[in-house]
Amino acid sequence: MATLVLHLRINGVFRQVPVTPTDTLLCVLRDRLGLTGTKRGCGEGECGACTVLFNGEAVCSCLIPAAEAEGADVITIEGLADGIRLHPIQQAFVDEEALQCGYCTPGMVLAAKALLDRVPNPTEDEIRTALCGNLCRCTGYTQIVRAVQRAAAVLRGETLGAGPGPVRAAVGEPVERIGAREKVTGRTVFAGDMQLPGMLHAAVVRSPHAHAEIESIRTEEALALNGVRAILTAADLPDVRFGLLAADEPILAVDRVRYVGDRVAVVAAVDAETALEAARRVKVRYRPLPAVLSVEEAARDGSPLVHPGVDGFPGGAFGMELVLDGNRCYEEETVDGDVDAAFEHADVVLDETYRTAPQHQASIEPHAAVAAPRGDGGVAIWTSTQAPFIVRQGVAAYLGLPMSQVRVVAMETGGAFGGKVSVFIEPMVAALALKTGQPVRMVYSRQEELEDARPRSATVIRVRTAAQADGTLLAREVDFLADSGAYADWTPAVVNSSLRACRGPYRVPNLRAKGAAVYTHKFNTGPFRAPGYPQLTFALESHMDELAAKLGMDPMELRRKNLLRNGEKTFSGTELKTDVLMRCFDTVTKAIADDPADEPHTAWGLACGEWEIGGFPASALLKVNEDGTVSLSVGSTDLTGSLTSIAQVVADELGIEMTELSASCIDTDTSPLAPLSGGSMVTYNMTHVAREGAKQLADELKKRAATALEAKPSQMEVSGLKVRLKKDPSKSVSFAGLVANEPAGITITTPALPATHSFAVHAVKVSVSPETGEVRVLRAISALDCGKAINPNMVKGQMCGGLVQGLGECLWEEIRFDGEGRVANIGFGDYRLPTAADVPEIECHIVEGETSTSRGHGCKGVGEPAHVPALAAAANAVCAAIGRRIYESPLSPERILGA
Amino acid sequence: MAPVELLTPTSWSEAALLLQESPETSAVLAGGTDLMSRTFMGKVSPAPRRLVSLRAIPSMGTIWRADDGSLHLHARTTLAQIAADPAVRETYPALHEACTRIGSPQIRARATLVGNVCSASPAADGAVAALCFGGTAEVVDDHSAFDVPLVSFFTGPRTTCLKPGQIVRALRFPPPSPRSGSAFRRVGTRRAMDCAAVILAASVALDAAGRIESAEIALGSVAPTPIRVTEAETRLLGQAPLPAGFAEAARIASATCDPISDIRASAEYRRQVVRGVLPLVLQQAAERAMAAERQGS
Repeated sequence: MATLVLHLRINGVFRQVPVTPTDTLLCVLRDRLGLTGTKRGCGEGECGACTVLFNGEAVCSCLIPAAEAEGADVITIEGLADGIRLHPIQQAFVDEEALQCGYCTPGMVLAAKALLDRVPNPTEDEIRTALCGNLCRCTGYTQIVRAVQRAAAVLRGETLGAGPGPVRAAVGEPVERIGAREKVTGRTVFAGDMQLPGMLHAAVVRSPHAHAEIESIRTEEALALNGVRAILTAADLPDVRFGLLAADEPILAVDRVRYVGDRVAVVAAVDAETALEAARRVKVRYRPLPAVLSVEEAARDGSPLVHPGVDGFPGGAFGMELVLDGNRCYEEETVDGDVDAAFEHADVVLDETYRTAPQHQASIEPHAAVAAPRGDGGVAIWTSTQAPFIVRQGVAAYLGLPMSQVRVVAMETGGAFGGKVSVFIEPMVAALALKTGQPVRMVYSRQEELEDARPRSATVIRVRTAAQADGTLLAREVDFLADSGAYADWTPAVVNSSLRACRGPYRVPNLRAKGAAVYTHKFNTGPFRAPGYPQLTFALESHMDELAAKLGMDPMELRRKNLLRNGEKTFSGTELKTDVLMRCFDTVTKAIADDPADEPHTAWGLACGEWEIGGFPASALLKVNEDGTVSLSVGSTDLTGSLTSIAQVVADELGIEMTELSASCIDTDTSPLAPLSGGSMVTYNMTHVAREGAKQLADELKKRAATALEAKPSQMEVSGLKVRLKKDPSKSVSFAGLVANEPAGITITTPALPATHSFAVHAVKVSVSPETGEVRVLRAISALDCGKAINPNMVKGQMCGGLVQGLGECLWEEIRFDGEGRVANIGFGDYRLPTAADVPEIECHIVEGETSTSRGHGCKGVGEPAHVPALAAAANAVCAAIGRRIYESPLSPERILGA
Repeated sequence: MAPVELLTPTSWSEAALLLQESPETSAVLAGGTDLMSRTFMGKVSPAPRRLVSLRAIPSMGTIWRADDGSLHLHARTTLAQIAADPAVRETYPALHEACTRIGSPQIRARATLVGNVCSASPAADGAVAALCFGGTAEVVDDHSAFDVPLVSFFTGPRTTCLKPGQIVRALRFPPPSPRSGSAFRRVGTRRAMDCAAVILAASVALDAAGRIESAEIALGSVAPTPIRVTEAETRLLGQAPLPAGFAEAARIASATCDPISDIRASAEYRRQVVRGVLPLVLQQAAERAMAAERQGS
C-alpha cells in the first residue's frame, strides 16, 4: 500500500510519520508512534477514550484520517506532564480518586483540559456537558467532576486546603490508589497496548445464524491472502469443552453454531486489517436450523433444543455438573415454612411478573489478550482478566497443556464488572501462538463485545407476596427464569444465588423460591456486577411499592416495618449485631424528607438491597527487602483499588509508608493462588490474610530484634522500618539489619472466612416529561453498609459507580435482538451508557460499624452491594412520578409513555 | 474496509472532477465524523475508496453575512463554530440549539453543518433546524455554481439530489423577519451523545396584528428524510399564536409524517411525541417572535 509522509507536531515535537491512507490519527499515535496512552474504545467516536487535543480542541482521534492531520498540533496524554511532575489536572484526578480502571482517564483528562483552557471557572453543569463525550463505566463521574473543579481552582492560582491525599498509610485514610500516576499519564500498559517483536494480529470468523449446522469450512482463499499466517477451526483443536460452572462450551464451534456471533474459526495475520479480510474470505456453508430466542419459549417442551442429544455436561472451573431438562440447564426450588397456609391467611396477596433486558458490562476497554509461544511448548498470555488462574485452567484444558506450561499475566483491566471472568479470547490467541510460533494479539471490536461477550442475563421474575393488613409480610413465592443463552457460563449460579435473596432484606417467614436457567440461541450470558441481584431487586422492590399501594400504606412505612433488625439473621447466615440496615434506611429517608418532590411529574424512589460476600481460602506472600522495605504479592487482580486497600492494611500493620511497600499482582507463575476477583470478595478476604501475614512477619522481626536487644518479643513494636523497645524507642534494630544475614519472608494461607453480608439503600429523584417519557435524574443518594471503610475514597468510588450503572440499567441500557437473533444495537451509539451529562452528583453515606470477622479491620465488600438496589430505586422513582407501574426494564421513554 | 485514497484538492472544480472520476466509491470529507464512523461500522456500502478532502480549498470565511443580511455557513464550518456564534444564537436560535446538541464536544469540534445536512440522515439535527429557516444549499460542480433550496434537497434516507461531482459549498439562510422566532427540541434517551427518536424545529413569524404570517415546521426521524410538514404550517397561517392552533397543527403533523419503528423508538411513539411536543416547540417559537417584536419596537 502506498505510504505518504505526514508532518505534524506531537506534544511539541515536529514529527514526520509514514502513514497509509487508511490510517486514522489514532492508528498513527498508537501503532506508528507507540503513544498508547490514547485508547481505543469503540472506533466510532462514541466513547471518547481516544480524545486528543487537535489544534487545541478535544477531538476523537479515531475519526480523523491521518492525512487530515497534516500540519496539525496534537497533544496526547503523554504530552501533559512536565517530566515526572503531573499537570494540575492529572494531579487533581489522583487527589480526588477520579479514576478507577484508568482506561477512559487519558481522554477524560484531555477533555477536561480543553474545557479549562477555554473556561477557567466552569459550573458543574458546564463540566458535565464538556465531558459528555467521554464515557466512564467505573466512577459514575462524581469524583471526576470534583477533580475538574479542583484542577480549575489550582489553575486559577487559588490556594487550596490540604489535598485529600494524606501521607500516612493508615487504615481509614484516603490513600492514593496504587498505579494512579501511571493511569493519569497514559503509561499504564493494557493488554491491547502490548507490542511484541513479530507479533501477529487475530480476527474471528463468526456465525451469521442463530442456529445452524456447519456443513463445510473452506479456508484456502483466506490462506492465500498475503500476510495470513494461520487459520484454525474446531478440527484443529482438541475436542474439549470448558466453562465457568460446567464444561459445555467449545472454544470454536463444533459442527453447529448456537448464536449469531458464535466463533467458527480464528485467523492470525501480520496486521489486523489482513486478519479481518482473511476472516471475511473464510467460506462457511451453513444449514440454518430453527432457533429459539425467547427464554419462556425455550423453557417449554417441544421447542428447538440448543444442545440436542445431550443429557448433561460435566463440571467446569467450578465443578458444577449440569443435568439438562430440555433447554433447562439448571433448576432449583427451595421451600422454607408453610407457604400455602400463609397465603391462605393473608389479608392481601399481590402477584406480578417483572422482566429485565440483557445488559452489558460495557467496559470501555474491550476484551484483549496477547499470547506468545514458549520454548518448552507452552504459552505465555497477557490478558485483561479478573480471573488469571481460571484463564490458566481454561487454556490448559482447551489446548491439552499442563498448567506448568501456561503462564498468565493479568494486565491492568480497563473495566471488567464480571465481563472478564469467562475464558474465550485467551484460548484463541494461545492456540494461534502455538500454531504460528509467533506472538499473537487479539482485541475485540465494540461490535464483537456486544455479540460475543458475557452480558447480564435477561430475566422473567414472578413475585407473589402475602401480607397482613397492617403491612406485616407473611410469605412469598418467587419464580425466577434466567436466559442463559447458548451455554451455561455463570447463569446457573445467577439463579442459585438469586433464589437465596428472594425475601429482600426483610422478615419474610415463609418462602418458596424456584428458578431455572434456560438455554436459548443467543450469546451466553455471564456474571455482571452482583449477578441476578439488580434484576431480582427490581422485581422485589417494585413489588414492595405496589404492595404498599395495595395496602394503602406509605411504601417507606411498609419497608420500615419489615426491615431486618439487630439480632436477626441475613440469608448469608450472619446475625446482625447492630441496626445497620435501619441506619442506612434512616439516613436516606431523612434526606428524602428534607427535599420533598413537590414539582409535578417529579418523585423520589427508594430501594433496599443486599449482597452476600463469600469467603475463600486466601494466600499472600510477604518479604522484607535488603533495605528493610517490604514486598507484597497477591494473586487477586486489582479491579477496584483492592490492591491499594490490601497494601494499606499491611503498611498500617507494619507501621510503614506506601512508598516503603511494593504490592503486586498477578502472574500465575509467581503469585499465590487466588480465586477470581469478583463478587466483592477481594478486599474482605485478602485484607484478612494480608494483615495476618503482616502480623506474622512483624512477630518474626520482633523475635529477632528481641534477641538482639536482649528483650522479650512482647516488649517490642514496629515503626519506621525498625523494631524498637516500646519503653525505650531509642533502642531499635532496623528491618534491614534484621534480614542482613537471614532473609525474612512468609507465604501465608488462611482458611475460608464465613460469608459476610452487606446492605445498601438507594434513593433517586427524577422528573419525567409527560409529553415524551424522557427522564431526568435530579438526585441520587447511596447509603452503604461496609463494615469498615479501609479507604473511604475508594468506597465512595464504588458507590458512585455502582449507582450510576444502575441508572443506566434502569433508563437506557438494553441489548435488543432482531427476529433472526442478531444483536440489533450497533456500537455504543445504540447501547447507551450514562454520560456525565445524564447523571447528578451521587451523594454517598458510608455506614460503618456492622463489621465482619475479617481481620482486615472488619471490612466487607462494597462493589456489588453498591450497585444492587440502584435500578430498582430509579424505577420506583419513575413509576411514582408517572403514577403507574412499569414491569419491564429498562424504563425507556416509550415504555413510560405507554404505561 | 477503510478508505484507501485521500485527496486534497485546492479548488472546488478540482474537487468536483476528482469526485466524478469514481462516483460510486468517492466521498466528500469535511469533518469526517459521520463518514468515518459509518465506514468503520460497515454502514457505508460500497465503502468509499476515495475521500476528497475539502481541507485545502480556500474559503472566504466560516460564518459571514452578505449585504442582503443573509447568513452564510461554509462547507467546513463546524458545529462548534456555529454554536459559539452570538449572531446565530440571536437570530436563528433553533439552529444554534441544534448545533449545541449534536454529539459531544469532540464531535462538534470536527463535524460540519453542511456535512450534517449532506449526510441526509433522517435523524440529522442540523438538517432539521436548517429546514425551518428556508435554507439554501450553494452547490458547485466542475464548471458552475447553483442553488438548491433545502426543501427539495433530500430524496430519501441518506440520499440527496446531488449528482456525482456536485458539492455543497455553503448553506445560506435569508434574514428572518423582525417579528419572528424559532425553537428546537430533540427527544431521545440521553441528554448527550444521543441519536434522537424525534427532532422538531419550528420558526414562526407574526404580522403587525400579532397573527401568524408564516410558519415553518421541520421534523426529523419521523420520515425517510428530514421533512417540512407544510399542511400543518398552512393551518397556522393567519391565526393567533394560541395553544389550540398549535395542537391542531401538531395533530396534522403527526398524521402526515411517516415514521418507522427501529431500535430507538416505535412509529407510534414518534407520532405521539410529535403530537405532544410540537405544540410546545411552536409555543416557544411564537413567544420568541413576540419577544423579538417587543425588542424591535
